[in-house]
Amino acid sequence: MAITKVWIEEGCIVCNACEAECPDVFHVTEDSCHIKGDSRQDGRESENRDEKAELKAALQASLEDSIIAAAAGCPVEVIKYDQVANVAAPAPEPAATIAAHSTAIAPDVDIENAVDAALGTSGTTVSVSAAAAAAVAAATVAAEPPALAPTVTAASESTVSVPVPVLVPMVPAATTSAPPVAAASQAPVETVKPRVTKVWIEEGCIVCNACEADSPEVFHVTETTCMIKPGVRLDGQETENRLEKNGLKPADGERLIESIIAAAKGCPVDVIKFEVLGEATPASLPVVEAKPHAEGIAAGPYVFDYKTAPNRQVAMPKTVPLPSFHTYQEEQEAAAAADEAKWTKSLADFETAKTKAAAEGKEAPKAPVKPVPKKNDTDMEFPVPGEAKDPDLLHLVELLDGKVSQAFEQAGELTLQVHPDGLQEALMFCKGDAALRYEMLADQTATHFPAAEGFAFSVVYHLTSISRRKRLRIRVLVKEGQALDSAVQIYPSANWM
Amino acid sequence: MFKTEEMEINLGPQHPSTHGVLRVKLHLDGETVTRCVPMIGYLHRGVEKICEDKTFFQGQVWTDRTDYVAAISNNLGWVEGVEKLFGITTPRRAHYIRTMLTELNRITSHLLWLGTHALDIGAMTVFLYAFREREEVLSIFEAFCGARLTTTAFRIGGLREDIPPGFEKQVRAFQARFLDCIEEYETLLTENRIWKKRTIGVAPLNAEDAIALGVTGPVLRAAGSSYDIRKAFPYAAYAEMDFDVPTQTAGDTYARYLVRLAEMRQSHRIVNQCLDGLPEGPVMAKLPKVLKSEVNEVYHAIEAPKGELGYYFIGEKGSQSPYRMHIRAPSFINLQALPKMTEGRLLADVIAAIGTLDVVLGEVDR
Repeated sequence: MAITKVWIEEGCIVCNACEAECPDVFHVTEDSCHIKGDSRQDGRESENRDEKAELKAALQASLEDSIIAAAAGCPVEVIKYDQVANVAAPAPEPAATIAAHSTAIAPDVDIENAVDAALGTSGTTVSVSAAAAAAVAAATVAAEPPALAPTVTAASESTVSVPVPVLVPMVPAATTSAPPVAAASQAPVETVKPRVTKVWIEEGCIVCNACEADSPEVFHVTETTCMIKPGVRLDGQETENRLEKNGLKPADGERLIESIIAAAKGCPVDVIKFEVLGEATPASLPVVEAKPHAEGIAAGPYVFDYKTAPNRQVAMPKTVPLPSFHTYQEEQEAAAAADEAKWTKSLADFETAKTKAAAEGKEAPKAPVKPVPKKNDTDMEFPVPGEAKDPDLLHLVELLDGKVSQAFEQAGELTLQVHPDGLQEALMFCKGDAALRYEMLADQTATHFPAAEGFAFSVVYHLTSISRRKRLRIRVLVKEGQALDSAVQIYPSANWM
Repeated sequence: MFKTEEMEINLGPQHPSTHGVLRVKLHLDGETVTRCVPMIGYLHRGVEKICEDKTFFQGQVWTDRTDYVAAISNNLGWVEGVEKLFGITTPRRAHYIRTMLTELNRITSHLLWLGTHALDIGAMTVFLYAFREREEVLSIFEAFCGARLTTTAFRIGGLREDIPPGFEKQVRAFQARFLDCIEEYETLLTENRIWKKRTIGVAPLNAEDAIALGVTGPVLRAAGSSYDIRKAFPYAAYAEMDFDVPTQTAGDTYARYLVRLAEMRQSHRIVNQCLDGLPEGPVMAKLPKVLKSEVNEVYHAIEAPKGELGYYFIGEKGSQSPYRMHIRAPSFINLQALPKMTEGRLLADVIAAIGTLDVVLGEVDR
């Protein structure tokens, strides 16, 4: 598809919208909108209403999108155009579109994969717009029709990706219409060295000089934009090369390929676009180092090793004060056993001392006295964890069948500790069960236990039953990097907590 | 004919009607709010983390500075939370005095809300009246503990000292005239046509949404739910007090206004009961010199002027400071309902909605 003619009907309100969309074609004057002379075959600048002069052939396909956008955005709908199916050089638009969308998903580029994938379809013309896996898939699909002229730009302005070359395996008849795939695949692709055929600057250059630093022979950054230098161009002009897309001298294109790709990757606003001809081997293209966050996504959740962090300043806690009935019972038993052992030992000591004293004829030692617990004369009695007796806890233990690690009561508060995979179920029961009816999630928070083995965080949910005047704490222990199911679907208040 | 587009504007962070440094990102279609995103965190000081390095006695000082217009409520939440953690039994007289001061604090908080909220909406006079009475209560606090705002009024286990001489007289003098003062505010506002036009039907929130979003306090009670922690889970001396929980059903700004005014009357009632029934006895429990914790985990919530104020503590064996402290701040959770209350409504109502939620940014950000 391409647009051959564009003109302005009567009624323009001089709103400048079209010029913003497509400045290459439209020029809004004080009383109307004109089609620019630069873009027209007759070179005149007018509304083009009566003469209907054609657009320059080079622009017909490339500016199609922006002209359509301008026409759609025209508030008074006076922009009209003739759109025809372009038989001479149909651009593989679908690939461009799909790929441009997919780049937004995976902005980090793996050049090697892209090139490999593209070369896998050697013999057809492949347009690769970005190297994300999805994009490659899209490009491969688009490559099924016969070879076409490579007119697709690397990526639309909105994409955030590093532009990746449009790869065109060297096919003799590539620019003519539809060579058979079989013939193309016989072409001696291995003899061709890759080279950059064209390079141009899209709109939006921020004049940062990065490209000139990477490739001073090709780029020249002026005060307002970046130019392609005349020395490397076939036509010897110095422009942005955006409209004309003049070619690079083959020798320069081959020699400077790496620096041009480096400049395009280094461009912070991704406006440097280029086309590559020939079979680019992975080795000839610089390998992009994966960014750290991309690595993190691939490798799973981000995990910070607190214990070996070299420059941490904070003293880490050494204990794990996680209230638990089991632990309390074990501690109590251990303490009782220690007391008992101490008592037995003192009795045995007394016996030996007594026999020794009797043998030596001395006075018998005093019998040991069992120590009484220290009397608590304060108004403080520390609440200890106790067995779960509350009907709510018992009910939940029954409902969750095996997903509860422990349930206990301490200081009048009910605690139910569940396995991470049983959390949502537990919350759903608490809210939905007719006997429980915990309507409100009052609070949710987490505690870090760096010294703990087997888990790193405890996450607690404090539920309130307004109708039954009860509170319940649900606790989950999670490992470092482990994610819990969100509670927002069940309790929307969890959103901010 | 002309292009129209949605506009994104910022309300705040430096805006008098956001009651602190709150920034609200608003998407506007003309004057209608299509999207409202509260942006918080400008006043974050890390109080919860700081308190992990403070002893249980020192940490209370930080609670003065979360909701700084209701410091005594925060103090009460902290000391009762710690008492629950340690299992401390506090003398009954201390409970009575705490209850009295907390209710007086509720009055100051509601008065500040009334004055500033009315000022936001356009009624100037009420502000002057409300601050006149608030000043009087603040001097009562000053008589009790020496500070007007950052009180640190209580101690773990009771009170540092009993009420000073002349204190009861001062409170009774205030009590004698305060009901008339509420009458004055009501004369200015309750039947005022402009006030009713600006508040009735503005920023509504029904009880179902409020409970789903965790909204508590007067905002929830104005929507019809009678959830009040003083009644549901009595603490301090509230179990012995006779008071009502005022509710409304409309769930709009006007209903919240009526609920808060009625709450001030109930607070007045509770203060009178505390004064009349003040038991004799000590005000401080017998405690060891140094409080060393055992392993325990508590969540203690009280009914602060803004809603459910919860303190979550984890105690570590042998430690003098909490292993973890977390504040369930009512302003923070209530602010979550702001988009629900304002989206699809007018820009001017956002101001009314922020005022009627009664948020204090020191507590939102902590």
